[in-house]
Amino acid sequence: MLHAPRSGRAVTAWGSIAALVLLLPVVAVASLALGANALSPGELAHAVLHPDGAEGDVIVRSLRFPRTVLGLIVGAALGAAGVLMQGHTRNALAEPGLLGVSAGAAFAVVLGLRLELVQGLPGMIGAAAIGAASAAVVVHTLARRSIRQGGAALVVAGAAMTAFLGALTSAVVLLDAKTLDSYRFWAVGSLAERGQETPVTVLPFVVAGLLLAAVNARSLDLLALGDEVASAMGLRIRRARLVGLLAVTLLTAASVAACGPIAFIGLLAGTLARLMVGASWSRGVLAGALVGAVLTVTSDVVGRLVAGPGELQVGVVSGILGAPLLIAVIRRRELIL
Amino acid sequence: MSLGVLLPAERAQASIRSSATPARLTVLAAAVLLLAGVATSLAVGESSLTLGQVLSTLVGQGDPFSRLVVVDFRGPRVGAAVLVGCSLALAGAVLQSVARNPLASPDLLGLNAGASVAAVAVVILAGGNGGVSGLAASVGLPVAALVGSLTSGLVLYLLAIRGRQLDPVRMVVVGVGLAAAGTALVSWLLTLGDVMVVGPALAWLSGSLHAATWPGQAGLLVVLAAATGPLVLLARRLDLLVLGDDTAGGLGLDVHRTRILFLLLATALTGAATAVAGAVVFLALCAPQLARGLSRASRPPLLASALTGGALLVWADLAARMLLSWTGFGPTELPVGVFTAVLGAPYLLFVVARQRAGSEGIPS
Amino acid sequence: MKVTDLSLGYGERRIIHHVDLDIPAGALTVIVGPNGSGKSTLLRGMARLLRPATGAVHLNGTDIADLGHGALARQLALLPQAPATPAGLSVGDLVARGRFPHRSWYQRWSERDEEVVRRALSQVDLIDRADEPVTELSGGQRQRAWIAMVLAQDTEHLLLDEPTTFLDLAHAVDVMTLARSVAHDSGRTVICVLHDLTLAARFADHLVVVSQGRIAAAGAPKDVLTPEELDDVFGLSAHVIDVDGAPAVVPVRRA
Ligand SMILES: Nc1ncnc2c1ncn2[C@@H]1O[C@H](COP(=O)(O)OP(=O)(O)O)[C@@H](O)[C@H]1O
Ligand SMILES: [Mg+2]
Repeated sequence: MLHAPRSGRAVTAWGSIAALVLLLPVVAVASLALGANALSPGELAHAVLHPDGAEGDVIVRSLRFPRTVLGLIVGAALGAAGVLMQGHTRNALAEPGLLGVSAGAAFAVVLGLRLELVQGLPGMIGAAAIGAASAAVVVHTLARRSIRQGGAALVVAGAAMTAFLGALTSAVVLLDAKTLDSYRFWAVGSLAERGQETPVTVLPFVVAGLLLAAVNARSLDLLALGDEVASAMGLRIRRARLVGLLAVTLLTAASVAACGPIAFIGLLAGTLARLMVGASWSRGVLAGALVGAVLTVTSDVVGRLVAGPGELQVGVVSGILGAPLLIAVIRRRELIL
Repeated sequence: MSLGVLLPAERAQASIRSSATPARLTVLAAAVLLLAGVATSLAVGESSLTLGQVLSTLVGQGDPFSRLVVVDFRGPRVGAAVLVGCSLALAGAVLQSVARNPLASPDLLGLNAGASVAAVAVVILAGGNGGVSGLAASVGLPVAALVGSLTSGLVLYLLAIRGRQLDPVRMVVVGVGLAAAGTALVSWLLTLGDVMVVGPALAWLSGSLHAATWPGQAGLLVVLAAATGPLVLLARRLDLLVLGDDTAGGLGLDVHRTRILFLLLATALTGAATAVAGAVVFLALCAPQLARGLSRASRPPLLASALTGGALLVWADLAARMLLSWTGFGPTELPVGVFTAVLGAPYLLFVVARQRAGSEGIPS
Repeated sequence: MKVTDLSLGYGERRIIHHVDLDIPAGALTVIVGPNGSGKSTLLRGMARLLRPATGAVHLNGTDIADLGHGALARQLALLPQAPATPAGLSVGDLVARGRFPHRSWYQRWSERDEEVVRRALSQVDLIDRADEPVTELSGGQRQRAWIAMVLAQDTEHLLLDEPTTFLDLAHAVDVMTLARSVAHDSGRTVICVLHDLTLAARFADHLVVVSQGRIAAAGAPKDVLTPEELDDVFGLSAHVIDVDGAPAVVPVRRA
């Protein structure tokens, strides 16, 4: 059920969004400055303004800058995807990781690499998109009846899908030690060492996905009233669902191909976004993208700080942060939106 | 089940309760399948034996070569398949009755995940080149898996109970969350180890009987034997638990304590089985439902579920062992868990899709 | 059955506050009250499914807190509100489960069990449908199958929580007639939660009104159901008219 709109809700909503926008540069700067090798503000300014090849400059320019940008892009993608999926499924637990969409993308990528059908990041994104869309369609179709009433069948179908595709992925990588070795570092979900050009390659896909998500969010506001009411108000339901699917697919595929599956960012972003902006899905998608970006970069920084001199991958940190939240969601809130 | 129309006189003779015949037939059929699977598995392999050789070895005759193959090479693996299959199916049958939900099973409820995290931690952190050995393998691994699954069982219970009532849907959703959290931890653990260790660990995670030994399954045998007693004595209480907490309480059941006991049994069975074979997924979900459907019972019957689970796993492992060589992919073999997942997940999806909204115990 | 100073709740939250009640033996007592007033909670406390925060419930002079699980279940049966029906369970098997408290784990199904179950099924007129799955019965039949289950428990006290929900008036009347005859013909104590006031007044020997976790009134229906009481407890302005000696509630139509 929808939360009743409260007075002053919109004001707080825009306040939260503004706060998130202000938070973005803060975490970005932190991500550039902090790590195994912490830089002073002076060194950071030096690296950004007049780089001359000093050690700090190299760290910032070739290592931390790409991963920070990648974190922002991928985080925004996953956050928006989480909000969209929660809106379409009316399920507070919907997110790419839990519903098998990430697993579909991951399997398609691994299979494509193993069979040498794809090469390079654009190919991986393509494969991931096919995998993500197929998994999303299957899970959604099978659990459709339960969506109308809201419930756990969707989550169970997602878990089944994840297990199924996970088993197939294991089968592929187990038969080949080389694939296995690169797979395990990719599968954990990490922003590190993804290369300079990765952010540039995924950016167009994510931007397209976010634009579709923004368009789709307005349909969600109607769909939230139920299919009958929405179509009585003139919404073309099939098209709205299709646009939603396309957006989720693009966003998930781009981020999974670039960084591997990062658990729980979509769930965290979706939940926090709805807490901040209430029942409006249009504001929700915006807030979700912002929360996702902030959380992903923050998780990455935390992973670098707590495990020095090594680091915890962002997927592990978000998993550890996300699991308690998931449990809190289950305990406190209604699962049906 | 009555066959056709009964005359009034006959009607009065027959018991008011439904007949036990389908249940007995199911037990019989599963037992036959299990035995056939054991015999075939012992006979088939790189060096094939005849059924006669297998049988005479089993009764203590047989030539030294077939004894070597049957007792030392294939025996541990087939024995483990039977024990793991029975244990997981029993755990599933118990959980499905306690949770009043056909989707409840150790893997969906995250019990496997707890065991996996603990066991992989042992393998990665204590293992040398090529996996753990010695004391860490024979004691550390089973104990870790047991502790891991008990921990997730405890967390599950604390989170799924509200006001001393168990919500069947909540339980499954909490479990899915636990499983997802476990998966994140396992992925991380896998990045820590050497690739020589990670390979076996991942194979084990996918559920494999490849490395089964006789001593390695002693712990499971003990747990299974220890769990059988209470399960037989308390089976009737499961009939009440499926009616819901209040009804069961009204009928004189100490719901809280009974449920904890059953959960403990299921968790211990899962942990011990996972220690032997890793995460053999979906078996615990499918076998009890299959047995329940064939027995036409209102909850999964324990004996039939156990036998069905054993039979399914023995045959699945035979397929996992032989399929790639039969299809010409060479002597590599797939973990049996890949098989059970590839067969079981579509079944689960089918259950979800087919569910009639509103009937109890099925999240709708 | 005697309830003294009973307080109940869930966790910290107190729902029932210091309730005293005398339930007449061999009669039908009906509990009414607004939604969420604590009727089900009270019933669950009387069946010891909730531990009292204060006070006690006595059955024939014994505190139920001192009874074993089986002993209590042989004296008192509870039909919960909206019970869970597992798919595939036959009517006969459901009712047979009512015999659980009468059998220890080593006892087999006896002639006596069979006889009690048959009698219960005949009482609710489902003896011919014993083989059918409960989930395939109509709402009214399903409710009756559950009532047969508690009848098979063969107890002196019977607690029924809203046994007429989802039933049309004719079926609701059937169920209440059955409840009343169980009380009067076999001298059992039946306590029944209802939300339909007129139905309650027609069948109850003793009517209890619960409001916000306390007893607002208790007594003969015609003494309890007054326009003042209805306004007080339910916020309902209604006429109370006498039909065949029992009060009937007719809401006032506002212009
Ligand atoms: N299992 C439970 N846990 C927590 N609170 C409950 C539970 N069951 C009922 N309540 C609360 O207790 C109050 C009384 O409920 P209930 O006894 O069911 O009322 P009634 O049966 O009169 O409609 C309600 O506010 C309800 O929210
Ligand atoms: Mg109630």
